[in-house]
Amino acid sequence: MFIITKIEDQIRVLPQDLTKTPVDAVTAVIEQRFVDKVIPNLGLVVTIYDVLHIEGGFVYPNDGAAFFKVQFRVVVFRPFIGEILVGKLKSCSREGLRVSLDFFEDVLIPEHALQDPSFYDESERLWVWKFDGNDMYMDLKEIIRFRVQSIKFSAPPTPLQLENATGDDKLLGTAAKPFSPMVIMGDINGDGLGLTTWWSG
Amino acid sequence: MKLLEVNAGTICNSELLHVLTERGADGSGKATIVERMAYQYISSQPVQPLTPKQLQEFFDVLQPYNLSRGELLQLANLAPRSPVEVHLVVADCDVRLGDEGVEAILAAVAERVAKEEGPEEEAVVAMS
Repeated sequence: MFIITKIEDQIRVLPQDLTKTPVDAVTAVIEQRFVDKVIPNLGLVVTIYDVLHIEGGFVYPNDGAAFFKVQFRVVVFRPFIGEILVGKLKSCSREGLRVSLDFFEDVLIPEHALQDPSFYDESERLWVWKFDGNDMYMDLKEIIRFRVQSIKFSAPPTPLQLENATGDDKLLGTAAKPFSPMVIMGDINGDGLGLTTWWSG
Repeated sequence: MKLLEVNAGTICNSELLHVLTERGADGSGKATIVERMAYQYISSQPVQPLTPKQLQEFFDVLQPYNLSRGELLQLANLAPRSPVEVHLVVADCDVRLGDEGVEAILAAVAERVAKEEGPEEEAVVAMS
């Protein structure tokens, strides 16, 4: 589920960090700029793999900082379509399930991708899979095995879009409707998918 | 920012665990929250972290079954314990592997990659 990506970028090292070795100073800046951020259409950068090449270190007029041209590799979370992943069930709603892989929380299993036939129990607020007359409840914090169906990347909304938004979208970016730059759609409709306890033993 | 090589290779969870440990994600150094969470996620899987040599040995054992890179990666990440899990990972499982192939994969995984479950299992083994 992780791939290595080689990136080249202009890294700006502040004057107070120039006492550090170039590798350390550059690594600190890369950590701030890239780690825990989503690169559009690529994935979530999890960590730095290594720094391959540093050159430059020029200081431009009016700016005390040094600019390095750095080639480095990062580890990106980018599962391929059809990959089987394991996560914890975070929440249930009418629309489906939300699964969390501790470092990535935006995995959605829409209600049409659940095991057939599944029903939403309003009183418990949980989804139930009715299998062979048994009610298999999908309790929270259970381990779920799912298949990656698709990955969706969205660009952050511009102020103009926010102004012209109607209804629910007006709240996009706030706690009421958090913005997710990368969303993975999964499915658990198949043998071996769903709660791992259903298929073990 | 230029993406020189978008996909310079896949990395399996064991290798990433090694990288994260070097970055101090296990608590020994200062690592960002996503690194610590990724470390926590991989460590919580019932999969034994393998050294590069052990990983290569695992892939060599499975070499005669002609599995694709994606399938080998998933086997190393998920450590399936039952035939249904192997069927999920390997496409056209019945045609390419058949029952003995699945058994062989499960045996290789159990020997090398699977981590013991927990204290309850050890107690059961001691009693029997």
